[in-house]
Amino acid sequence: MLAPNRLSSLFKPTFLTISTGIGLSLVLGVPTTLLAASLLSPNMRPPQPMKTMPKAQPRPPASAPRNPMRALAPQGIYVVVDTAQNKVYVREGEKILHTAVASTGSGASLQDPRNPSKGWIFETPRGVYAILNKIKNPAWVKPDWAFIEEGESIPTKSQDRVETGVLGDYALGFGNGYFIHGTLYTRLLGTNVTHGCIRLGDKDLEYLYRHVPTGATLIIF
Amino acid sequence: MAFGLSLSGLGASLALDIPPRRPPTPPRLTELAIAKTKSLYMVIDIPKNLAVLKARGIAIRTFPLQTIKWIGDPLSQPLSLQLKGKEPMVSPLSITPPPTSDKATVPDGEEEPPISPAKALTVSDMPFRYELAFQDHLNVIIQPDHLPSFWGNAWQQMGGWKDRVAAHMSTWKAAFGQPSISYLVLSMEPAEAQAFYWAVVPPMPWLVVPGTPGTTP
Repeated sequence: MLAPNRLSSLFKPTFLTISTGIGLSLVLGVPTTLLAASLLSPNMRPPQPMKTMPKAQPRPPASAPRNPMRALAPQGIYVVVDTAQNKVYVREGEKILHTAVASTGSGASLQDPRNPSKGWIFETPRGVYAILNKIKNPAWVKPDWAFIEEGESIPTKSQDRVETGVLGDYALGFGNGYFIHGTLYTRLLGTNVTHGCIRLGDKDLEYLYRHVPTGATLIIF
Repeated sequence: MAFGLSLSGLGASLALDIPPRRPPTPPRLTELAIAKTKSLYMVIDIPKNLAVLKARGIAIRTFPLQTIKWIGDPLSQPLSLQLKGKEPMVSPLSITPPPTSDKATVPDGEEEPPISPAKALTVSDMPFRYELAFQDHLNVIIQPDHLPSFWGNAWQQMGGWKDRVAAHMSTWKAAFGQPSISYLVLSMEPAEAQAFYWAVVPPMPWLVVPGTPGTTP
């Protein structure tokens, strides 16, 4: 079942290109009234996720015992994503508030036919992140790989890249163009099929949108 | 001062020659430095027979260790390491874009997902016997104690035996003036070993807490 090592050398030197190339033009929020106007701009650039400063945490009282390790732990509600089991956990301290079945990165690779030394690896990035922004009614600005993968030619007009209604009602961005969003393919929840984003079912996505604040810690493993 | 001490007896002059031994860094302090980063990190807690995947000081996944063995010199104090590579490596499966004419027709306007599950790497595709290399002089061998099938188990035992012989031979390098490598052999359930392979991604930091296996509840 395992693929031969033939691609490993091909993709190693272009890792940075790969990881940034996946995300940059992935999603924008659809303020539906503004979308049309912004799409008509000839110099439209793929929208970037808005960077939001994490909310300030309340200081512990002076009498509280100082535990440096505890001080590092996420304060308040945070999200843990298990990419092996395709599960998302909303946690507060040790307590699990909500569990959801998700879809995460497939780990598959795609070669760029325009430049064979470049390509993409569709992995969900691991590490500690923060929820940077929350978007209602997101639309997908399809990046180059979405067209290459489907054997289509890459459009020259920016507006030809926009697809609405495929990302669910909400999207929570965690940087570099990666989002937690909804899906049309609910039958694939629980499997590794995405291009790096984290897909959730409608109800679970709404739970996260309503309960996870901007600035909350996101741990992906 | 040295003169005075040497006059006072052999014991005192010996004490001057030996540099004072620094107390070992407590594992908690070593971990604190790692936990401050945005990386996930692995703590191999030998006294507790556990491997714990952590982030920001909190445990997010625990892997019970069935047995822990050292080949070469065991660690005497906590050691922080950085994972360099995994052997065997699992390469990503490649997507072959369809020719434009072969595009799938889709009923009722629903699109076909571009990636089918068959093209995805899952945790069950991961190996359960493998070697992890670090930048320092330590390698970690992961192998299950037993496999369900007789022949699978036989192959597993032979493979494990081969790995351990190779590890023993590499520890002899010290005799020829080369830096020696110690091996930490961890055994876990096959499914846990696969999940462990999935969880550890270079250049993940590791912390190995030494001790006698299973001495701390």
